[in-house]
Amino acid sequence: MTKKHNSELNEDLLKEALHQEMESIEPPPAEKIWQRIEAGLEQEKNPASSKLNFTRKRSFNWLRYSAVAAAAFMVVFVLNSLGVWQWDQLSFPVVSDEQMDPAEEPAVMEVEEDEAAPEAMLEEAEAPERVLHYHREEDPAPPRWPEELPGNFILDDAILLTAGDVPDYHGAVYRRADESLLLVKSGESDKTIEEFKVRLGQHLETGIHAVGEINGYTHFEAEGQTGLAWQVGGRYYALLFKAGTISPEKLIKIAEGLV
Amino acid sequence: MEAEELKKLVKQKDNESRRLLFEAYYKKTYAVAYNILRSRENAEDITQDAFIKAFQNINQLKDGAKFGAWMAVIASNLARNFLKRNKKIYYTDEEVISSGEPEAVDTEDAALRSLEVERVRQAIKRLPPEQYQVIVLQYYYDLKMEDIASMLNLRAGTVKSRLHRARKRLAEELELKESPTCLSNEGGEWEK
Repeated sequence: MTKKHNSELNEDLLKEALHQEMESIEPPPAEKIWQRIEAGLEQEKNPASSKLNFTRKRSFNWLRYSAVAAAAFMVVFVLNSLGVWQWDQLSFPVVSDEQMDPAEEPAVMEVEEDEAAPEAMLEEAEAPERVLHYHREEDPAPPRWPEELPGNFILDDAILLTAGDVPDYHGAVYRRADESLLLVKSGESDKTIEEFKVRLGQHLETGIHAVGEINGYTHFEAEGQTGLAWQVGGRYYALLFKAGTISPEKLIKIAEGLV
Repeated sequence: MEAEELKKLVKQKDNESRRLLFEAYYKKTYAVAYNILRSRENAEDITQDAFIKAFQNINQLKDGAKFGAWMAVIASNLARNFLKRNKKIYYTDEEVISSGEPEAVDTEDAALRSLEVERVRQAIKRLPPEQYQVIVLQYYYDLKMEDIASMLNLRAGTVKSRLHRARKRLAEELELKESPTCLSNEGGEWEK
């Protein structure tokens, strides 16, 4: 049931709600957690310590991947000893960053990640912009960007893209795990989609390569990333992956949810 | 815990001091992790990891009086990273077991207020993790914008923008008017 309230969302209300919420959650017994923390700190001092309870999950990963690596080595060794496979014939496929599915990254990365200092963890929370680079500023007056896009992409930041150091297009960054999308809204001066694409390229500091038209959307590529452009109400919009990979068809589904 | 006592404990770095710090902030740190993860087991692991990281890197905390907020930042970042690694979205629809039932009230005004607070609590639970993080730091730990930006390693403008979006989202969801005092010179106006 929705009912219009006359009250305000003010600081007092927020504070009271947060305090009640914090007090309402009952954690497990503190003693159990404290013992695990002590064990963790002890292991940091003495890595050879047998107190491994606190790292039970990571220990499992290490064991699992060590076992896989050992098994792979044994297979290669046996094949080599049988003369089936020469060492100098070993070759490994080269996978570019763009092609690698983040989900396929080895779990050992998780361990390294967890070893980072808090500062590094803070930076990590803001996923690095791996593929598309551009100059940006904070947007003091962003358009009303949707909080969420189809596919569970959550609004993470509102920005102003700059061209020649001049703030120009509004942009919104959406994130879903390691993937991120950039939604761009043109200024008033762009008269055609061609002008928009040229200026978008200036904003992204890369060439925009037209691929074709799909379902009324202009399909383009920028730095190898798939993008779509379209016009609504006299403004042009562009949607493109800035980290991760996606097919044009899936991107269209996201764009269709916007229009 | 008083600010001076906190600073003293943070400086001491012995086991007894750590234990006191843990006892003072265990529940709050767990609550932050739980509100993002909505899983008791995962929140337990994240809380444990957050304290270990904090004690290992306590030299990096410049103002010991902000230990609680620092723990909230570490726990919420670990929780967000956990969700990312496991490709999970934050939960918004799980029935949360909470002991915070509205208390018995004497007057109609107090009853309405109590209901309103409960609605805000439920809406806060549905915020995306990055918005929940800044709301907690500003309205629970009373941190200044610059301190939040520094702790999260973000620019102040990004923090303002997130706070603005969080309040806007709460106000819209609750159909409450936004108080001008709540929005005082922070964030941008949304396009009408």
